[in-house]
Amino acid sequence: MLALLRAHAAGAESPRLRIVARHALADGEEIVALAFAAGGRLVALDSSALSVYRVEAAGLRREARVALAPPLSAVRRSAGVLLGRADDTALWVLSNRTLGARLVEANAALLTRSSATAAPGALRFERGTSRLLGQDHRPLTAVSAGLEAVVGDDGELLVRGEPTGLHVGDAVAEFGANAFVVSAPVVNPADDALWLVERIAQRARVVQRLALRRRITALAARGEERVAVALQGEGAEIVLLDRVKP
Amino acid sequence: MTAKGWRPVALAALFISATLALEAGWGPRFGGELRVLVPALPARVGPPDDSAPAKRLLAGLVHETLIGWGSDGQPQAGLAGSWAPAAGGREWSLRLREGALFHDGSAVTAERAAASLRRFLRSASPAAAHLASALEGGPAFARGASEELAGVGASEGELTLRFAQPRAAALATLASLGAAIVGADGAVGAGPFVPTFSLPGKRAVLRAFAEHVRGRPFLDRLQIEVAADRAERARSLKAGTSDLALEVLAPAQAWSTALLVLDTTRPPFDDPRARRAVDAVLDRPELASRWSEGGEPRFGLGFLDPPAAEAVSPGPPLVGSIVIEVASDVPLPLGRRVVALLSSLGLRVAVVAPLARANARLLRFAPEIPERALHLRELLVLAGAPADRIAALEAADAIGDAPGRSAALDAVAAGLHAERSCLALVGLPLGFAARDGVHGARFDASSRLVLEDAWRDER
Repeated sequence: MLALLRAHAAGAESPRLRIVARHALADGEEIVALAFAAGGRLVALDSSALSVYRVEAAGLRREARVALAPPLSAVRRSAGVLLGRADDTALWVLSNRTLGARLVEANAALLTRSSATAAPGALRFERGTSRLLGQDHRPLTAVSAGLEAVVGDDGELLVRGEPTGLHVGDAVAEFGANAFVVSAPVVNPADDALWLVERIAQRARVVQRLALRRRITALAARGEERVAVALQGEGAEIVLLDRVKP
Repeated sequence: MTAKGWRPVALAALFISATLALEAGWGPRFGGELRVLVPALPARVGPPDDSAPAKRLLAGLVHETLIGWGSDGQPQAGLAGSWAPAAGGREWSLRLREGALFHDGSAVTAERAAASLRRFLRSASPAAAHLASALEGGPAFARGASEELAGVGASEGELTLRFAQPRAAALATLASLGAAIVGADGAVGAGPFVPTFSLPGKRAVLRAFAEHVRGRPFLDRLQIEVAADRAERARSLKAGTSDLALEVLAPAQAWSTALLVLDTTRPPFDDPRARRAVDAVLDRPELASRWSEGGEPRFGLGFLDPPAAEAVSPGPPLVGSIVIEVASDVPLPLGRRVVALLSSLGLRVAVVAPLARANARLLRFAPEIPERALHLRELLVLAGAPADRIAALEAADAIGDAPGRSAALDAVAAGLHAERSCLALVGLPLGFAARDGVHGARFDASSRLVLEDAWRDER
């Protein structure tokens, strides 16, 4: 294993990310989940609505915002999940303020195609909490849009069900086949950072730490090229980052 | 006991006062249990009819009021999500939050809210008496002279209160825990935690209420136990057998006041000279610095505070016997010192347990609701003020213009202060210490420990 890690370090260069655009959020708009979708779109779930953005050269342009169907439960911490691949035309939407899951078209109409008691993988929120339960009823604090990576209740990053030994924060997204972006395992929001994690054999290694100085509430990635980060706190915003070309 | 014995015990830096920001990089998170040590617990978990701090703690966890009252003098949403005045401020409508439930799953209705308020109005709570005095039909209903209560109405999710005249802080009394809204059996609450086990006065176990109106608390479970001795609470925290302990060495997050209340209806304190002598002998700076851990001298009653001690001549020695009741939550050295000072006046002093008929009471006081008229009413009731003084307070509270009301309340407070029936001695800090990784616990404006936003970082 050690030899493998050394070989990787000596050979292929690790990816790097840099900020390319910022989009300011309205006061009180706390994004709890992000996902890229077909048509160059980014979908954002906040505590009371679903938004769809067109990703343009200058940044993000909101195409639509649709309120979650009432009644909305009172929760002390809003949480949500968007499940799907970056080229999907519809995404599964799960919020801890609403019952069940909905499959929503990822376009300006944001129409609901179908609904179910749980999202794929039997994923649902434990009532009134931000804890996710899956098929094995093991509590999770975050899942990636493709369900490749999850964060256990103890903060450990698991990839395809395998523990990595790496403890992370409450946001995770797949960044290509063997890399992930995660939030840092910190208590103070001012210390929060975006970590780019590579998985080699059964190990996970942080290859880049990008200080963002506000609480990261959601992450999404498109392939190995682009990452979207929702930041909460003073000056809440969505930040777009691109992979630095060698 | 010497003052040296009350030097702060150095607690290791294992503990932090749990005042870290609620919002954290990876939190707040749901789950876990908190083991809490407190100096005292009440015998029952129902809405209290007085404002003893021990009763407030448990009642505040289990019960919910229509509104809260902030230190900014504004109502805060509770079971009522919105409220509005009408009829020039004589009428207030409170709309209940949709979907509000009791712990047994039954709906919190306006009719249940009205029934709870009717029960409250006939309780011994000073806040209840204050509300009754202001409501249409309230005085007769509270006395039991009538079952009619025109001042409280309920219909379609809305509770209506009708006052005889507009009031500046009309809704403040609803923040009293005695006014908590309870289910049909008079006991089921709608607060953030559901009691699952209770050993009266000793231990209580509570679980999170998933349907609470502000959302399910972060913690799954609370275990609250009594450890009357401060050193025992500190040791338990250090040993890791508890997670949070009240009133161990910790920064003050709120304050209470040690009050000496003198019975002015009986000798010797029916004589103003005797009360003056007591006031003169109570050396507040000494009581604070030597006989109460972390205490601060107090010369006034929480408002109209004189900047420092007034010069009070001691007068002639006192003769006779008195009985003093010392509340269990008053620090023992402070209680002993006050008894010694009273004895130094020439009195023979006997100390008795609560409930006996005493000439004097030493107790710990924190106003239940941070509103001036209610604060003053609590003190007047403690002091056994006659009906005309209470009526003067009610008249002052009913004055429409704010400066006029304030001046009239000042006059009532000044009268109480001058009477020396209720002597503030020492400000006693309220605080808690918690193990590292416990966040979000806090004291509210009513000096009550709030745990519904507490969470554990167990990573």
